[in-house]
Amino acid sequence: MKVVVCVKQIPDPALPGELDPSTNYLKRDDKLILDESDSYGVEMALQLVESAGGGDVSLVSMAPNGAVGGLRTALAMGAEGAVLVSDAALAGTDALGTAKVLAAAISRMSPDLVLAGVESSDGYTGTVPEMIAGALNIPSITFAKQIQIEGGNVKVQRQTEAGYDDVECPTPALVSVTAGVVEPRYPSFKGIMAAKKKPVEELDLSALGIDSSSVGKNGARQETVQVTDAEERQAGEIIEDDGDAHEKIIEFLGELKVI
Amino acid sequence: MMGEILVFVEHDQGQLSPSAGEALTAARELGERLSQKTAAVLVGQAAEGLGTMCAEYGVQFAYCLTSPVLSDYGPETWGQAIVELANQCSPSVILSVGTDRGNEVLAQVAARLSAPFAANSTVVQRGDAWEITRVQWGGSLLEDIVVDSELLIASYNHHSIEPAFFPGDNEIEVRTVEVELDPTLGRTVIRDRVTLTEGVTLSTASVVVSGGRGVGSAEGFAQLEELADLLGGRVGCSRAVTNNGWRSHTDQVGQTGTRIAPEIYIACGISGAIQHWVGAMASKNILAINTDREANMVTKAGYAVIADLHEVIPAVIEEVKRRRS
Repeated sequence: MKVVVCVKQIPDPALPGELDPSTNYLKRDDKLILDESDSYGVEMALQLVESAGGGDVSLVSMAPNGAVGGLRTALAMGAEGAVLVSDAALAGTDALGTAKVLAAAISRMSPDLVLAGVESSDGYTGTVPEMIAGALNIPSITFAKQIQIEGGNVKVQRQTEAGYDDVECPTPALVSVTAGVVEPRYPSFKGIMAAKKKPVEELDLSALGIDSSSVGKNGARQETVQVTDAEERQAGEIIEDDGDAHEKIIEFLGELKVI
Repeated sequence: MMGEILVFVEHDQGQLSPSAGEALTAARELGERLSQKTAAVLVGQAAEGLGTMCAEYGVQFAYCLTSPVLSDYGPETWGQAIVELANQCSPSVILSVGTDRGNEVLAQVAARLSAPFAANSTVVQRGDAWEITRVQWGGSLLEDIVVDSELLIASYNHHSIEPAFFPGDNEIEVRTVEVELDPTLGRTVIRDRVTLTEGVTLSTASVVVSGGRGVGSAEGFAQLEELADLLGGRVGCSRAVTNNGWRSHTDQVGQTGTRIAPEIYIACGISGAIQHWVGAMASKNILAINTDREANMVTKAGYAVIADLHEVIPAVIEEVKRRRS
Protein backbone atom coordinates (compact mmCIF):
# COMPACT_ATOMS: atom_id res chain seq x y z
CA MET A 1 0.00 0.00 0.00
CA LYS A 2 1.32 3.38 -0.96
CA VAL A 3 0.25 6.39 1.10
CA VAL A 4 1.14 9.96 0.21
CA VAL A 5 0.79 12.61 2.93
CA CYS A 6 0.45 16.28 2.03
CA VAL A 7 2.44 18.36 4.47
CA LYS A 8 2.87 22.07 4.86
CA GLN A 9 5.91 23.75 6.33
CA ILE A 10 4.97 26.88 8.22
CA PRO A 11 6.61 29.54 10.37
CA ASP A 12 6.68 28.67 14.07
CA PRO A 13 3.15 29.30 15.44
CA ALA A 14 4.75 30.69 18.59
CA LEU A 15 5.53 33.75 16.43
CA PRO A 16 2.42 33.98 14.29
CA GLY A 17 1.69 36.25 11.44
CA GLU A 18 4.94 37.99 10.67
CA LEU A 19 4.47 39.56 7.31
CA ASP A 20 6.85 40.91 4.80
CA PRO A 21 5.73 44.57 4.60
CA SER A 22 6.76 44.84 0.95
CA THR A 23 4.66 41.91 -0.31
CA ASN A 24 2.17 41.26 2.52
CA TYR A 25 2.95 37.56 2.33
CA LEU A 26 3.74 35.60 5.43
CA LYS A 27 7.48 35.69 5.99
CA ARG A 28 8.89 32.30 5.18
CA ASP A 29 12.59 33.01 5.36
CA ASP A 30 12.87 31.92 8.98
CA LYS A 31 13.17 28.27 9.82
CA LEU A 32 10.01 26.48 8.77
CA ILE A 33 8.56 23.68 10.83
CA LEU A 34 6.09 20.89 10.15
CA ASP A 35 2.54 22.20 10.57
CA GLU A 36 1.16 20.41 13.61
CA SER A 37 -2.13 19.82 11.72
CA ASP A 38 -0.19 17.67 9.27
CA SER A 39 1.66 15.62 11.89
CA TYR A 40 -1.62 13.78 12.51
CA GLY A 41 -1.76 12.79 8.83
CA VAL A 42 1.83 11.52 8.97
CA GLU A 43 1.11 9.50 12.12
CA MET A 44 -2.11 8.07 10.65
CA ALA A 45 -0.26 7.04 7.47
CA LEU A 46 2.50 5.31 9.45
CA GLN A 47 -0.08 3.43 11.53
CA LEU A 48 -2.01 2.34 8.42
CA VAL A 49 1.11 0.98 6.74
CA GLU A 50 2.19 -0.75 9.96
CA SER A 51 -1.17 -2.45 10.41
CA ALA A 52 -1.26 -3.43 6.71
CA GLY A 53 2.05 -5.19 7.32
CA GLY A 54 3.88 -3.29 4.61
CA GLY A 55 3.81 -0.36 2.30
CA ASP A 56 5.29 3.01 1.86
CA VAL A 57 4.63 6.47 3.28
CA SER A 58 5.82 9.38 1.15
CA LEU A 59 5.43 13.09 1.64
CA VAL A 60 4.53 15.81 -0.77
CA SER A 61 5.02 19.50 -0.07
CA MET A 62 5.30 22.80 -1.83
CA ALA A 63 7.51 25.78 -0.98
CA PRO A 64 8.83 28.69 -2.98
CA ASN A 65 12.30 28.52 -1.42
CA GLY A 66 13.35 24.88 -1.17
CA ALA A 67 12.74 24.68 2.59
CA VAL A 68 12.99 21.16 4.00
CA GLY A 69 13.03 21.64 7.81
CA GLY A 70 9.45 20.45 8.29
CA LEU A 71 9.90 17.58 5.86
CA ARG A 72 12.88 16.29 7.84
CA THR A 73 10.70 16.12 10.96
CA ALA A 74 8.12 13.97 9.13
CA LEU A 75 10.90 11.81 7.63
CA ALA A 76 12.32 11.35 11.14
CA MET A 77 8.89 10.13 12.27
CA GLY A 78 9.22 7.35 9.69
CA ALA A 79 8.18 8.47 6.20
CA GLU A 80 10.36 6.96 3.47
CA GLY A 81 10.90 9.93 1.22
CA ALA A 82 9.51 13.22 0.03
CA VAL A 83 8.72 15.16 -3.09
CA LEU A 84 9.15 18.90 -2.72
CA VAL A 85 7.80 21.16 -5.41
CA SER A 86 9.94 24.24 -5.16
CA ASP A 87 10.00 27.12 -7.59
CA ALA A 88 10.47 30.85 -7.09
CA ALA A 89 7.39 31.35 -9.28
CA LEU A 90 5.22 29.74 -6.58
CA ALA A 91 5.35 32.76 -4.23
CA GLY A 92 1.82 34.10 -3.71
CA THR A 93 0.03 30.97 -4.94
CA ASP A 94 -3.59 30.74 -3.73
CA ALA A 95 -5.41 27.65 -2.48
CA LEU A 96 -6.59 26.59 -5.94
CA GLY A 97 -3.08 26.94 -7.41
CA THR A 98 -1.60 25.02 -4.47
CA ALA A 99 -4.07 22.19 -5.04
CA LYS A 100 -3.23 22.10 -8.74
CA VAL A 101 0.52 21.86 -8.08
CA LEU A 102 0.20 19.23 -5.34
CA ALA A 103 -2.22 17.20 -7.48
CA ALA A 104 0.29 17.16 -10.34
CA ALA A 105 3.04 15.94 -8.01
CA ILE A 106 0.76 13.33 -6.40
CA SER A 107 -0.39 11.87 -9.71
CA ARG A 108 3.27 11.02 -10.53
CA MET A 109 3.44 9.01 -7.29
CA SER A 110 0.32 6.84 -8.01
CA PRO A 111 -0.75 6.36 -4.37
CA ASP A 112 -3.60 4.20 -3.07
CA LEU A 113 -4.39 6.79 -0.46
CA VAL A 114 -3.65 10.50 -0.08
CA LEU A 115 -3.81 11.93 3.45
CA ALA A 116 -3.87 15.59 4.43
CA GLY A 117 -4.52 17.68 7.52
CA VAL A 118 -7.93 19.30 7.72
CA GLU A 119 -6.56 22.82 7.47
CA SER A 120 -3.25 24.58 7.82
CA SER A 121 -2.61 26.52 11.00
CA ASP A 122 -1.51 29.67 9.17
CA GLY A 123 -3.49 30.25 5.95
CA TYR A 124 -6.45 28.45 7.44
CA THR A 125 -8.63 28.11 4.37
CA GLY A 126 -9.30 24.39 4.94
CA THR A 127 -10.03 24.01 1.24
CA VAL A 128 -6.87 22.58 -0.30
CA PRO A 129 -7.52 18.86 0.41
CA GLU A 130 -10.94 18.97 -1.22
CA MET A 131 -9.52 20.89 -4.18
CA ILE A 132 -6.73 18.32 -4.62
CA ALA A 133 -9.37 15.57 -4.75
CA GLY A 134 -11.29 17.66 -7.28
CA ALA A 135 -8.18 18.16 -9.42
CA LEU A 136 -7.27 14.44 -9.29
CA ASN A 137 -10.91 13.45 -9.77
CA ILE A 138 -10.74 10.98 -6.89
CA PRO A 139 -13.29 10.60 -4.07
CA SER A 140 -12.62 12.36 -0.78
CA ILE A 141 -13.62 12.04 2.85
CA THR A 142 -12.81 14.83 5.30
CA PHE A 143 -12.46 15.04 9.09
CA ALA A 144 -11.45 11.41 9.58
CA LYS A 145 -10.97 10.22 13.14
CA GLN A 146 -10.36 6.61 12.17
CA ILE A 147 -9.31 5.03 8.85
CA GLN A 148 -9.36 1.42 7.69
CA ILE A 149 -8.35 0.03 4.33
CA GLU A 150 -10.30 -3.03 3.25
CA GLY A 151 -9.75 -4.45 -0.18
CA GLY A 152 -10.18 -1.64 -2.64
CA ASN A 153 -12.13 0.50 -0.21
CA VAL A 154 -11.31 3.01 2.47
CA LYS A 155 -13.64 3.08 5.49
CA VAL A 156 -13.61 6.20 7.59
CA GLN A 157 -15.20 7.38 10.79
CA ARG A 158 -15.90 10.95 9.84
CA GLN A 159 -16.19 13.24 12.86
CA THR A 160 -19.51 15.05 13.22
CA GLU A 161 -20.76 17.38 15.93
CA ALA A 162 -22.82 14.70 17.62
CA GLY A 163 -20.57 11.72 16.96
CA TYR A 164 -19.38 10.28 13.68
CA ASP A 165 -20.54 8.99 10.30
CA ASP A 166 -19.31 5.71 8.85
CA VAL A 167 -18.29 6.71 5.33
CA GLU A 168 -16.82 4.55 2.63
CA CYS A 169 -15.35 5.09 -0.83
CA PRO A 170 -13.13 3.22 -3.28
CA THR A 171 -9.37 3.84 -3.49
CA PRO A 172 -7.49 5.78 -4.69
CA ALA A 173 -9.02 8.40 -2.44
CA LEU A 174 -8.09 11.48 -0.45
CA VAL A 175 -8.83 11.57 3.28
CA SER A 176 -8.24 14.55 5.55
CA VAL A 177 -7.33 13.71 9.13
CA THR A 178 -8.83 15.59 12.09
CA ALA A 179 -6.22 17.09 14.39
CA GLY A 180 -5.82 15.35 17.74
CA VAL A 181 -7.23 11.94 16.81
CA VAL A 182 -3.87 10.17 16.98
CA GLU A 183 -0.78 10.96 19.00
CA PRO A 184 2.02 11.92 16.60
CA ARG A 185 5.17 10.02 17.60
CA TYR A 186 8.28 11.90 18.64
CA PRO A 187 11.12 11.23 16.23
CA SER A 188 13.73 8.99 17.86
CA PHE A 189 17.41 9.90 17.72
CA LYS A 190 17.88 7.08 15.22
CA GLY A 191 14.99 8.42 13.19
CA ILE A 192 16.45 11.91 13.13
CA MET A 193 19.81 10.60 11.94
CA ALA A 194 18.18 8.39 9.29
CA ALA A 195 16.03 11.29 8.06
CA LYS A 196 19.12 13.20 6.99
CA LYS A 197 19.85 10.54 4.39
CA LYS A 198 16.30 9.97 3.15
CA PRO A 199 15.57 11.13 -0.38
CA VAL A 200 13.90 14.50 -0.96
CA GLU A 201 13.19 14.87 -4.66
CA GLU A 202 13.00 18.52 -5.61
CA LEU A 203 10.86 19.37 -8.61
CA ASP A 204 10.26 22.68 -10.30
CA LEU A 205 7.14 23.66 -12.17
CA SER A 206 8.49 22.72 -15.58
CA ALA A 207 9.18 19.18 -14.34
CA LEU A 208 5.47 18.96 -13.52
CA GLY A 209 4.46 20.50 -16.83
CA ILE A 210 2.80 23.45 -15.12
CA ASP A 211 2.91 26.85 -16.77
CA SER A 212 4.49 29.19 -14.21
CA SER A 213 2.09 32.01 -15.16
CA SER A 214 -0.87 29.87 -14.04
CA VAL A 215 0.34 29.78 -10.41
CA GLY A 216 2.08 32.17 -8.02
CA LYS A 217 1.12 35.79 -7.79
CA ASN A 218 0.12 35.97 -11.46
CA GLY A 219 -2.05 32.88 -11.43
CA ALA A 220 -3.76 33.80 -8.18
CA ARG A 221 -6.89 35.83 -8.56
CA GLN A 222 -6.72 36.67 -4.87
CA GLU A 223 -4.27 39.25 -3.67
CA THR A 224 -3.51 40.01 -0.04
CA VAL A 225 -3.75 43.75 0.66
CA GLN A 226 -2.94 43.67 4.34
CA VAL A 227 -3.05 41.52 7.44
CA THR A 228 -3.96 42.94 10.84
CA ASP A 229 -4.42 41.64 14.35
CA ALA A 230 -7.99 40.63 15.03
CA GLU A 231 -9.46 42.92 17.64
CA GLU A 232 -8.23 41.80 21.03
CA ARG A 233 -10.75 41.63 23.81
CA GLN A 234 -10.11 44.01 26.67
CA ALA A 235 -10.03 42.69 30.20
CA GLY A 236 -13.29 43.34 31.99
CA GLU A 237 -13.97 43.29 35.67
CA ILE A 238 -11.49 41.32 37.76
CA ILE A 239 -12.65 40.16 41.20
CA GLU A 240 -10.26 38.97 43.92
CA ASP A 241 -11.77 36.23 46.04
CA ASP A 242 -12.49 37.55 49.54
CA GLY A 243 -14.61 34.55 50.37
CA ASP A 244 -17.63 35.86 48.48
CA ALA A 245 -16.48 35.14 44.92
CA HIS A 246 -19.24 32.55 44.44
CA GLU A 247 -21.87 35.20 45.21
CA LYS A 248 -20.36 37.52 42.62
CA ILE A 249 -20.43 34.70 40.09
CA ILE A 250 -24.08 33.98 40.89
CA GLU A 251 -24.87 37.65 40.41
CA PHE A 252 -23.06 37.69 37.06
CA LEU A 253 -24.85 34.53 35.86
CA GLY A 254 -28.10 36.11 36.98
CA GLU A 255 -27.45 39.22 34.88
CA LEU A 256 -26.94 36.97 31.86
CA LYS A 257 -30.18 35.17 32.76
CA VAL A 258 -28.37 31.83 32.89
CA ILE A 259 -29.90 31.21 36.31
CA MET B 1 -26.07 43.27 -15.25
CA MET B 2 -24.56 41.02 -12.67
CA GLY B 3 -26.00 37.62 -11.93
CA GLU B 4 -27.77 36.46 -8.84
CA ILE B 5 -26.39 35.46 -5.43
CA LEU B 6 -26.62 31.77 -4.64
CA VAL B 7 -26.39 30.67 -1.04
CA PHE B 8 -25.78 27.03 -0.15
CA VAL B 9 -28.15 26.07 2.66
CA GLU B 10 -26.78 23.19 4.68
CA HIS B 11 -28.95 20.29 5.77
CA ASP B 12 -28.57 16.63 6.59
CA GLN B 13 -31.30 14.32 5.27
CA GLY B 14 -33.74 17.22 5.26
CA GLN B 15 -32.75 18.46 8.72
CA LEU B 16 -31.73 22.11 8.45
CA SER B 17 -28.29 22.84 9.91
CA PRO B 18 -28.08 25.35 12.78
CA SER B 19 -25.71 27.37 10.54
CA ALA B 20 -28.40 27.85 7.85
CA GLY B 21 -29.72 31.00 9.54
CA GLU B 22 -26.27 32.56 9.36
CA ALA B 23 -25.95 31.74 5.66
CA LEU B 24 -29.39 33.07 4.74
CA THR B 25 -29.03 36.25 6.83
CA ALA B 26 -25.64 37.04 5.29
CA ALA B 27 -26.87 36.33 1.76
CA ARG B 28 -30.03 38.45 2.07
CA GLU B 29 -27.99 41.31 3.47
CA LEU B 30 -25.44 41.07 0.63
CA GLY B 31 -28.27 40.90 -1.92
CA GLU B 32 -29.73 44.12 -0.52
CA ARG B 33 -26.38 45.90 -0.62
CA LEU B 34 -25.66 44.82 -4.21
CA SER B 35 -29.32 45.10 -5.36
CA GLN B 36 -29.22 41.55 -6.60
CA LYS B 37 -31.59 38.64 -6.47
CA THR B 38 -30.68 36.16 -3.73
CA ALA B 39 -31.57 32.49 -4.04
CA ALA B 40 -31.16 29.67 -1.55
CA VAL B 41 -29.70 26.43 -2.91
CA LEU B 42 -31.19 23.27 -1.43
CA VAL B 43 -29.50 20.07 -2.56
CA GLY B 44 -31.46 16.83 -2.85
CA GLN B 45 -35.11 15.81 -2.77
CA ALA B 46 -35.00 15.63 1.03
CA ALA B 47 -34.53 19.41 1.21
CA GLU B 48 -37.63 20.25 -0.80
CA GLY B 49 -39.67 21.21 2.26
CA LEU B 50 -37.08 23.61 3.66
CA GLY B 51 -38.13 26.57 1.51
CA THR B 52 -40.50 28.04 4.10
CA MET B 53 -37.72 28.12 6.68
CA CYS B 54 -35.51 29.98 4.21
CA ALA B 55 -38.33 32.51 3.75
CA GLU B 56 -38.21 33.39 7.44
CA TYR B 57 -34.82 34.97 6.81
CA GLY B 58 -36.19 37.08 3.96
CA VAL B 59 -34.84 35.08 1.04
CA GLN B 60 -37.49 35.00 -1.69
CA PHE B 61 -36.17 32.41 -4.12
CA ALA B 62 -34.87 28.90 -3.76
CA TYR B 63 -33.61 26.23 -6.09
CA CYS B 64 -34.10 22.65 -5.05
CA LEU B 65 -31.64 20.47 -6.97
CA THR B 66 -32.78 16.91 -7.52
CA SER B 67 -31.21 13.79 -9.00
CA PRO B 68 -31.21 10.12 -8.01
CA VAL B 69 -27.50 10.58 -7.19
CA LEU B 70 -28.35 13.22 -4.56
CA SER B 71 -30.18 10.88 -2.19
CA ASP B 72 -27.59 11.41 0.55
CA TYR B 73 -24.71 13.80 1.25
CA GLY B 74 -21.49 13.59 -0.72
CA PRO B 75 -19.09 16.49 -1.32
CA GLU B 76 -18.53 15.58 -4.98
CA THR B 77 -22.18 15.04 -5.90
CA TRP B 78 -23.36 18.12 -4.02
CA GLY B 79 -20.52 20.20 -5.45
CA GLN B 80 -21.19 19.08 -9.01
CA ALA B 81 -24.95 19.70 -8.57
CA ILE B 82 -24.20 23.32 -7.64
CA VAL B 83 -21.84 23.57 -10.61
CA GLU B 84 -24.69 22.41 -12.89
CA LEU B 85 -26.98 25.08 -11.43
CA ALA B 86 -24.26 27.73 -11.79
CA ASN B 87 -23.87 26.80 -15.44
CA GLN B 88 -27.59 27.46 -15.94
CA CYS B 89 -28.06 30.69 -13.98
CA SER B 90 -24.58 32.35 -14.16
CA PRO B 91 -24.43 33.64 -10.57
CA SER B 92 -22.08 36.43 -9.50
CA VAL B 93 -21.60 34.99 -6.01
CA ILE B 94 -21.86 31.54 -4.43
CA LEU B 95 -21.91 31.70 -0.64
CA SER B 96 -21.96 29.35 2.33
CA VAL B 97 -21.08 29.38 5.99
CA GLY B 98 -17.61 28.01 6.69
CA THR B 99 -18.70 24.88 8.50
CA ASP B 100 -16.98 21.58 7.64
CA ARG B 101 -19.64 20.85 5.06
CA GLY B 102 -20.05 24.42 3.82
CA ASN B 103 -16.35 24.71 3.07
CA GLU B 104 -15.88 21.30 1.51
CA VAL B 105 -18.84 21.62 -0.83
CA LEU B 106 -17.75 25.05 -2.05
CA ALA B 107 -14.13 23.84 -2.37
CA GLN B 108 -15.47 21.20 -4.77
CA VAL B 109 -17.43 23.88 -6.62
CA ALA B 110 -14.34 26.12 -6.83
CA ALA B 111 -12.11 23.28 -8.06
CA ARG B 112 -14.67 22.27 -10.68
CA LEU B 113 -15.31 25.82 -11.91
CA SER B 114 -11.66 26.82 -11.46
CA ALA B 115 -12.86 29.90 -9.58
CA PRO B 116 -11.20 31.51 -6.55
CA PHE B 117 -12.65 30.63 -3.14
CA ALA B 118 -12.35 33.00 -0.18
CA ALA B 119 -12.99 30.77 2.81
CA ASN B 120 -13.87 31.92 6.34
CA SER B 121 -14.64 35.53 5.44
CA THR B 122 -15.99 38.15 7.79
CA VAL B 123 -16.63 40.94 5.27
CA VAL B 124 -17.67 40.69 1.60
CA GLN B 125 -17.88 43.91 -0.41
CA ARG B 126 -17.91 44.83 -4.06
CA GLY B 127 -15.77 47.74 -5.22
CA ASP B 128 -13.89 47.66 -8.52
CA ALA B 129 -13.13 44.08 -7.54
CA TRP B 130 -14.34 41.92 -4.66
CA GLU B 131 -12.98 43.18 -1.34
CA ILE B 132 -12.93 40.48 1.29
CA THR B 133 -11.75 40.25 4.86
CA ARG B 134 -11.06 36.72 6.02
CA VAL B 135 -9.58 35.15 9.12
CA GLN B 136 -6.14 33.54 9.34
CA TRP B 137 -4.37 31.62 12.10
CA GLY B 138 -7.65 30.41 13.50
CA GLY B 139 -9.09 33.91 13.78
CA SER B 140 -6.23 35.74 15.49
CA LEU B 141 -5.34 37.60 12.28
CA LEU B 142 -7.55 39.29 9.71
CA GLU B 143 -6.48 39.25 6.09
CA ASP B 144 -7.81 41.79 3.59
CA ILE B 145 -7.81 40.37 0.10
CA VAL B 146 -8.91 41.55 -3.32
CA VAL B 147 -10.42 38.92 -5.56
CA ASP B 148 -10.41 39.60 -9.26
CA SER B 149 -13.01 37.28 -10.72
CA GLU B 150 -16.43 37.51 -12.36
CA LEU B 151 -17.63 34.77 -10.05
CA LEU B 152 -16.88 35.00 -6.34
CA ILE B 153 -17.06 31.89 -4.20
CA ALA B 154 -16.91 32.68 -0.49
CA SER B 155 -17.80 31.23 2.87
CA TYR B 156 -18.57 33.30 5.94
CA ASN B 157 -16.57 32.48 9.04
CA HIS B 158 -18.79 30.26 11.20
CA HIS B 159 -20.36 32.17 14.12
CA SER B 160 -19.43 35.59 12.70
CA ILE B 161 -22.96 36.36 11.45
CA GLU B 162 -25.87 36.87 13.83
CA PRO B 163 -28.87 35.09 12.27
CA ALA B 164 -31.87 37.43 11.96
CA PHE B 165 -35.43 36.64 10.99
CA PHE B 166 -36.88 39.01 8.44
CA PRO B 167 -40.08 40.73 9.63
CA GLY B 168 -43.32 40.48 7.69
CA ASP B 169 -45.18 37.88 5.67
CA ASN B 170 -42.37 36.30 3.72
CA GLU B 171 -43.09 34.31 0.62
CA ILE B 172 -40.67 32.13 -1.24
CA GLU B 173 -40.71 30.74 -4.74
CA VAL B 174 -39.09 27.29 -4.81
CA ARG B 175 -38.03 26.05 -8.21
CA THR B 176 -37.12 22.39 -8.57
CA VAL B 177 -34.18 21.88 -10.91
CA GLU B 178 -33.42 18.39 -12.08
CA VAL B 179 -29.67 18.12 -12.58
CA GLU B 180 -27.87 15.57 -14.75
CA LEU B 181 -25.10 13.97 -12.71
CA ASP B 182 -22.65 11.24 -13.58
CA PRO B 183 -23.65 8.33 -11.28
CA THR B 184 -19.97 7.43 -10.68
CA LEU B 185 -19.65 10.67 -8.69
CA GLY B 186 -21.76 9.03 -5.99
CA ARG B 187 -18.89 6.77 -4.95
CA THR B 188 -18.58 8.20 -1.43
CA VAL B 189 -21.30 6.59 0.65
CA ILE B 190 -22.46 7.28 4.22
CA ARG B 191 -23.16 3.83 5.72
CA ASP B 192 -24.25 4.92 9.17
CA ARG B 193 -24.64 7.99 11.40
CA VAL B 194 -23.53 7.36 14.97
CA THR B 195 -24.64 9.70 17.75
CA LEU B 196 -22.40 9.84 20.78
CA THR B 197 -23.79 12.94 22.46
CA GLU B 198 -27.54 13.37 22.88
CA GLY B 199 -29.09 16.82 23.05
CA VAL B 200 -27.03 19.96 22.72
CA THR B 201 -23.54 19.65 21.29
CA LEU B 202 -20.51 21.63 22.32
CA SER B 203 -20.78 23.90 19.29
CA THR B 204 -24.48 24.68 19.81
CA ALA B 205 -24.61 24.81 23.63
CA SER B 206 -25.54 28.20 25.10
CA VAL B 207 -23.48 27.53 28.22
CA VAL B 208 -20.08 25.84 28.17
CA VAL B 209 -18.27 25.07 31.42
CA SER B 210 -14.72 24.30 30.49
CA GLY B 211 -11.73 23.10 32.47
CA GLY B 212 -7.99 23.27 31.96
CA ARG B 213 -4.86 22.03 33.64
CA GLY B 214 -5.99 23.75 36.83
CA VAL B 215 -8.76 21.18 37.29
CA GLY B 216 -5.98 18.79 38.24
CA SER B 217 -7.51 15.39 37.44
CA ALA B 218 -10.20 13.51 35.52
CA GLU B 219 -12.21 13.28 38.77
CA GLY B 220 -11.99 17.05 39.17
CA PHE B 221 -14.34 17.39 36.20
CA ALA B 222 -17.25 15.99 38.22
CA GLN B 223 -17.83 19.47 39.68
CA LEU B 224 -17.78 21.02 36.22
CA GLU B 225 -20.22 18.37 34.99
CA GLU B 226 -22.56 19.18 37.85
CA LEU B 227 -22.43 22.92 37.20
CA ALA B 228 -22.93 22.41 33.45
CA ASP B 229 -25.97 20.19 34.14
CA LEU B 230 -27.46 22.81 36.48
CA LEU B 231 -27.02 25.52 33.84
CA GLY B 232 -28.21 23.36 30.94
CA GLY B 233 -24.79 23.45 29.32
CA ARG B 234 -21.98 21.20 28.20
CA VAL B 235 -18.50 20.53 29.52
CA GLY B 236 -15.50 21.50 27.43
CA CYS B 237 -11.80 21.37 28.06
CA SER B 238 -8.42 22.60 26.93
CA ARG B 239 -5.79 20.62 25.14
CA ALA B 240 -3.71 20.08 28.29
CA VAL B 241 -6.68 18.09 29.60
CA THR B 242 -6.99 15.79 26.59
CA ASN B 243 -3.21 15.34 26.52
CA ASN B 244 -3.42 14.14 30.12
CA GLY B 245 -6.21 11.76 29.20
CA TRP B 246 -8.70 13.39 31.59
CA ARG B 247 -11.32 14.01 28.87
CA SER B 248 -11.82 12.79 25.33
CA HIS B 249 -10.86 14.87 22.30
CA THR B 250 -14.54 15.44 21.44
CA ASP B 251 -14.72 17.78 24.46
CA GLN B 252 -11.74 19.87 23.40
CA VAL B 253 -12.31 23.53 22.61
CA GLY B 254 -9.74 25.13 20.35
CA GLN B 255 -8.07 25.22 17.00
CA THR B 256 -7.58 21.45 17.01
CA GLY B 257 -10.93 20.86 18.65
CA THR B 258 -14.38 22.41 18.50
CA ARG B 259 -14.99 26.10 17.90
CA ILE B 260 -17.80 27.30 20.10
CA ALA B 261 -19.99 30.38 20.39
CA PRO B 262 -22.05 30.07 23.60
CA GLU B 263 -23.85 32.87 25.44
CA ILE B 264 -21.39 32.28 28.24
CA TYR B 265 -18.10 30.47 28.41
CA ILE B 266 -16.99 29.61 31.94
CA ALA B 267 -13.26 28.90 31.72
CA CYS B 268 -12.00 27.20 34.89
CA GLY B 269 -8.26 26.88 35.39
CA ILE B 270 -7.55 27.54 31.71
CA SER B 271 -4.52 29.70 30.92
CA GLY B 272 -5.84 30.57 27.45
CA ALA B 273 -3.06 29.79 24.97
CA ILE B 274 -3.75 31.16 21.50
CA GLN B 275 -4.73 27.70 20.18
CA HIS B 276 -7.43 27.50 22.85
CA TRP B 277 -8.48 31.11 22.52
CA VAL B 278 -9.32 30.85 18.81
CA GLY B 279 -11.82 28.10 19.65
CA ALA B 280 -13.46 30.17 22.39
CA MET B 281 -13.20 33.73 21.05
CA ALA B 282 -16.68 33.74 19.50
CA SER B 283 -18.25 33.33 22.98
CA LYS B 284 -20.56 36.25 23.78
CA ASN B 285 -19.50 36.42 27.42
CA ILE B 286 -16.51 34.92 29.14
CA LEU B 287 -16.15 34.23 32.85
CA ALA B 288 -12.64 33.15 33.82
CA ILE B 289 -11.91 31.47 37.13
CA ASN B 290 -8.18 31.22 37.72
CA THR B 291 -5.64 31.60 40.49
CA ASP B 292 -3.26 33.37 38.10
CA ARG B 293 -4.12 37.01 37.61
CA GLU B 294 -1.78 37.21 34.61
CA ALA B 295 -3.33 34.27 32.71
CA ASN B 296 -4.32 35.14 29.13
CA MET B 297 -7.86 34.01 29.76
CA VAL B 298 -8.16 36.41 32.71
CA THR B 299 -6.90 39.36 30.66
CA LYS B 300 -9.41 38.65 27.87
CA ALA B 301 -12.47 37.70 29.91
CA GLY B 302 -15.30 40.16 30.45
CA TYR B 303 -15.50 38.91 34.02
CA ALA B 304 -12.69 37.22 35.89
CA VAL B 305 -12.53 35.82 39.38
CA ILE B 306 -9.13 35.23 40.96
CA ALA B 307 -9.89 32.20 43.05
CA ASP B 308 -9.31 28.48 43.45
CA LEU B 309 -11.90 26.76 41.27
CA HIS B 310 -12.02 23.82 43.70
CA GLU B 311 -13.44 26.15 46.35
CA VAL B 312 -15.55 28.47 44.29
CA ILE B 313 -17.28 25.98 41.94
CA PRO B 314 -18.80 23.87 44.76
CA ALA B 315 -19.97 27.09 46.43
CA VAL B 316 -21.62 28.23 43.19
CA ILE B 317 -23.28 24.82 42.79
CA GLU B 318 -24.64 24.98 46.35
CA GLU B 319 -26.01 28.47 45.81
CA VAL B 320 -27.71 27.58 42.51
CA LYS B 321 -29.30 24.54 44.17
CA ARG B 322 -30.39 26.56 47.20
CA ARG B 323 -32.11 29.13 45.01
CA ARG B 324 -33.93 26.48 43.05
CA SER B 325 -35.15 24.45 46.01
